[in-house]
Amino acid sequence: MEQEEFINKLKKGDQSAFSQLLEHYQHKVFNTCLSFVPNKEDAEDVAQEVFLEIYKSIHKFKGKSKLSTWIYRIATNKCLEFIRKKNAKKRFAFMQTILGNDIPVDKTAYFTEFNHPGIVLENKEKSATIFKAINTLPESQKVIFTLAKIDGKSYQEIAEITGKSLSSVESVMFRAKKALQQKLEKLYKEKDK
Amino acid sequence: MENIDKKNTSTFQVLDKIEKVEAPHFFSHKVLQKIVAEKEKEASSFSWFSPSIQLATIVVVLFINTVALVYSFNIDNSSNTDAITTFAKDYELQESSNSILN
Repeated sequence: MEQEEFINKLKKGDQSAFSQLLEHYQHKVFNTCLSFVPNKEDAEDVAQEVFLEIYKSIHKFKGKSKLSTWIYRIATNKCLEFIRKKNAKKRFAFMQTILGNDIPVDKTAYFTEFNHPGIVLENKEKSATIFKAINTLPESQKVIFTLAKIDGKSYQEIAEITGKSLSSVESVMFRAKKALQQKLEKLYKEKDK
Repeated sequence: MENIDKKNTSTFQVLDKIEKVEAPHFFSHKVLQKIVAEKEKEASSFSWFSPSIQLATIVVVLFINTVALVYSFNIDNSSNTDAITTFAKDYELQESSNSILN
């Protein structure tokens, strides 16, 4: 009931209700964004976009899921959108190089620097390696693995966020782990040569 | 192979050591600022369409509709009928034509 009242306040554009929501979710959403985009500045931008989207589309929230689930769904989608755009820019830069066109210096920096504030320096290299490998996974595997292993969400929460069944989440997770192991194995073999 | 397996395992273990962090300072302030900017943008895009202009628009639309209706009811239909009859005669579409084929 309290939750319903709170959502109604949000739908009416109550500024104090939105500040309350922001206060409660800012760290959680920021951490979710960091799990997908391991760069402090980029994750902050994406997290801001998430709250802007929440503000704009709160009237569309039907209450079929928990508010937190809805928020994490928006966060996940915004992160994927960001990654897609970044990858498209990378492809464009690569194509330009093949075609022999000069790329302005600032545009070569499409590869976001790995800068996760929650990772200690000694683990930075390994983390960067696994994050790169995760980025090459199919989208559904990437989402489920990231939410589970990096953001620390339970399978039940992930099932609610992604709209998949619990068994489906488990099977995708199993495939993601296997694919990642193979990718890392290949990578380390190449490095050892 | 064992070495690679170890590396693999330790790489996976790194994920368990990621610590939760707090959102940067002034994060909520920045979000609220963005929202205010968004509101202003929304307001400014239709700010010129004031209530008086809205009323004037409705009056103009109603006037045009009324004129159109009055015109369509008062129009003289005889000239149209003449034109159709001439057209039918020219192309021998009338039943009363004297064609031997009928």
